Amino acid sequence: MNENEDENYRADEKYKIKNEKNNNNNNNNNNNNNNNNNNNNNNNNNNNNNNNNNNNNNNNNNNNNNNNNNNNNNNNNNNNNNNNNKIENIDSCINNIERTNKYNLFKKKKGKKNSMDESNSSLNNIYISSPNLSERSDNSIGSYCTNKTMKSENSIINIETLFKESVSDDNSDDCGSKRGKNINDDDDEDDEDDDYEPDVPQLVDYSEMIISILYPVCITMVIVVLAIRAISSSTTKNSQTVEISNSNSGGGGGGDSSSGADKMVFDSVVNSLIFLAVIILSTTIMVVLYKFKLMKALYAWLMGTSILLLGVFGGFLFLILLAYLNLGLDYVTFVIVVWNFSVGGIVCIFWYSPKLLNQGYLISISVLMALFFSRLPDWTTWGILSIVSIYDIFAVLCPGGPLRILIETAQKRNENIPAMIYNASVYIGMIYNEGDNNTIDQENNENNLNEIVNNVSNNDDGDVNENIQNSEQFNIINEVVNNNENGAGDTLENGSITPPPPIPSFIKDEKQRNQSSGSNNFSNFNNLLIGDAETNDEMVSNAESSVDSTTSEPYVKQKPSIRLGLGDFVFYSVLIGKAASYQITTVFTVFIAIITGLFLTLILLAVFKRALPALPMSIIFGIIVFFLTFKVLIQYIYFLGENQIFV
Amino acid sequence: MTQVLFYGCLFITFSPILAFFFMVIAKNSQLVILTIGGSFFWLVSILISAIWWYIIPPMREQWWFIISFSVLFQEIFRYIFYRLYSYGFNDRPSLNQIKETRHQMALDSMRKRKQQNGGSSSNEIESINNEINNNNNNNNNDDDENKEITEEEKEKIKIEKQKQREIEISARLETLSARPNHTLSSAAIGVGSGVAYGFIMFGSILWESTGPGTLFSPACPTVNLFMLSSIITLFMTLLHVVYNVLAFQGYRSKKYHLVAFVIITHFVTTYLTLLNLPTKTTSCFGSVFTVGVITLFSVGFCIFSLLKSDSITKIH
Repeated sequence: MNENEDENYRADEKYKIKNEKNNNNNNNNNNNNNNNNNNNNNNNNNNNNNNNNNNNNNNNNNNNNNNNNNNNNNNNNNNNNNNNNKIENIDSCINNIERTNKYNLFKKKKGKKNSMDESNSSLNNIYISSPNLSERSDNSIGSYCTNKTMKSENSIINIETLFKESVSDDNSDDCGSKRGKNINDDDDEDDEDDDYEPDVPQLVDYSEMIISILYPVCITMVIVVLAIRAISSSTTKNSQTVEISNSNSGGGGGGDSSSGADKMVFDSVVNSLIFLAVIILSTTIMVVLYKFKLMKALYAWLMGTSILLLGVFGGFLFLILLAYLNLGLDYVTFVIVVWNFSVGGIVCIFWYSPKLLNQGYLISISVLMALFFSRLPDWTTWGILSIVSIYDIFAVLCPGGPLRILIETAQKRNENIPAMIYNASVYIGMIYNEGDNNTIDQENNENNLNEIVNNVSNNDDGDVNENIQNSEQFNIINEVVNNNENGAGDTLENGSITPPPPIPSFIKDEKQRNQSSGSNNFSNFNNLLIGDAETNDEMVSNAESSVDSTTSEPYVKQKPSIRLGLGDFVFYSVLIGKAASYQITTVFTVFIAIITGLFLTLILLAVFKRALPALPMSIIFGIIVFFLTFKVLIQYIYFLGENQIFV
Repeated sequence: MTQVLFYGCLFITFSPILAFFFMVIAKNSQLVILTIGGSFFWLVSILISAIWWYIIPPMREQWWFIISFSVLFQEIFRYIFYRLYSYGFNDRPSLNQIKETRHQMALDSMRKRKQQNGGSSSNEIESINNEINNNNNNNNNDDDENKEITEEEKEKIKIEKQKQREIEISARLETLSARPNHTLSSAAIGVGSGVAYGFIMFGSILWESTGPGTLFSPACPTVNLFMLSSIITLFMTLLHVVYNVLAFQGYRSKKYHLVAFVIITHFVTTYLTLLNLPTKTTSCFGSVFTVGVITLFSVGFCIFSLLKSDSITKIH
């Protein structure tokens, strides 16, 4: 009971703050307060009646509504004297709101759907520009909801406006200085303050990001599980052990596969240490290459390894697949197929491709790696997983850790991390850059356009662009109505033109690379980056670099996206593949555990706002749950299931 | 033949809940996260009950012990998850408050503009007011209209009403799929636990049905065991959704009779499956039939209590 009251109390506090703001608006319009209050009271009365019908249901909301009433009545008298600054800010923004609202309502009359987004962003701007903003996430949820209520069709646009909101939040300085309009000095300072605040990404859009990283992880896991079950049904265990011993001797240290617990422990420890040494070595080489700007060597190395991976493992898997399907194929065709697959992979990953193809190749690389690793013996796999996840903590979090050095160097240079990283900004990133046609260069445009082609139909394109244009200009502008039409037309034209292919990034010289990749990446707190490919796994968020990038490159737009290194994909898939080789129940339990660990890590990422290792929580959860399931739960389930007891 | 059995049982068990998941839950990312959370908490509860079963060997055959403790653990973890959920979500604004503030601000700005322009745009404002009234106070309008109806205009008003209702309903549906209101998010958590239940408890059993032979239920020797299990699991997954919605509603609004209903129903259904055991007087018909009836009744009761408490129509 006490805790409930506490919650109510907290909620009330928040709403008081919000209502104060609203009442400031009211006080600007003193003449109109009566009508508003009437409206408000009507609404509240409705709610209260409903609530009375409910007896005690929704206590919190009830209280909040009452608070609305109280605040409206009480604060109207006081607020005039309170915060002059606030009122000024809100005054400046209200001008905007009026115009857009007028425009909105015009458009609404005409039956167009998009118009409400603008006013949402206007609300958000007001909240954001006022300094005492209590909780940003409330606003975002509100805008999201109202968006949804007003708009029917595609959720993409709603997401966009949310991200648009954060764009306007952080970059209103830039836009204001660039276009030289409207926003007061107070507003600018406040925005800067907002930049420096540790600002948690709002729950709604952040959950979209989380889900967008969830899809590829799930796809990878499902493919690995299916492949492992197919392979294990087609080949016998003896051949597996033979291959394992070969790989061990190739790795340099493994022993013969003889019995004995101590032998097993020793072998697994030695194997995993060798594995760890290889990982550390490759990471260090990569960091050194990147640190001293040997970009050609770095890219050559990356491309060589990935072409070997795709060719050899892909060919191997293709052979197994052929054997499983009992199909015949001549060697010439086989070689051509494998060669095309691997070279196409190189082009897609390192150069220029549709987004779907790029992500598909990244997923296929991680699937191949995971299939290779999951052929190791059991205890070696567990040892490798645990040691790598422990190493991951040090590599990302320690000051001297190689991955941390890599990330920090990349942040200093304002570049992408030169590795294979799954970028989860499936249609989120597109949204940003589409809106920023003035400031971004062509490379971004291309990616985004491809994304658009893949994700959004043409009609929606128009809506998207129009919305973005609207909300962006809305920060800045007085003349919303005219610019809307123009902006929409412009972006539509841009959307229809296919851009020329870009220069591959390793061929460019420094400036070009800085520009292009800098606009891609590393500009703000929303840009969360997880993990790194060859070297495994970490999460990076670049809260630190936001200041640098905004000052050094004023027109950089942030792209809020979560990036997960392919290493994370690989090790998640190894774990679940290992689980799949035992029982089908362990697959489900380990899947749930891994996804929960990933979510927890992402939530921690939102809290700490820095690079985080993605492996440890998921792997620890996964291993614990696996052993519990394998040792205990399966017996329990079978015991219950055979007797047909359903608890 | 075993493949047919496998897929038949699979679809019988999982089609309703997976359809609900993909049609409703998967549209909203927050609901998906809640679903994963619910399945994880259910997984933890079943792991703990399995450990509890495992570490006390003499009680492994005692059904009352197993059943009561596993149900108890599940309910405890439901409550824990409710605490977590309320910690995260209860102090967020409800949709109506957001709407109110939003319309209020729109109105303010419009009125200010009117003040500046000297009433040049009064028509607009009236129309806006009408719109806003239509949006917000649909109930009031309906009532007023009912009183003021003259018989001639009935048809027009009926058409208008239908349109309004359609708009309202579509708006409500959108908001339902847009924002995790408490009902929908508790349903999402229930779906998570139900799916986890189905895949974990029944998946391993179901996997055996692809095997070389088939099994028959010990209680009724003519009925296939997998078929029987799949039907009961279907009921159980639906019941998990219902349990979670009802229990969350009960905890939230402090109507503890709902919680009591949930716990009692959970115990009763679980004990009813004891009828599947191969003893003298039992038969599987009793368990399947009664569990089905209880499922239907509790689904109806869930919907009834939601409607009674106005949790569906009022989008809080």
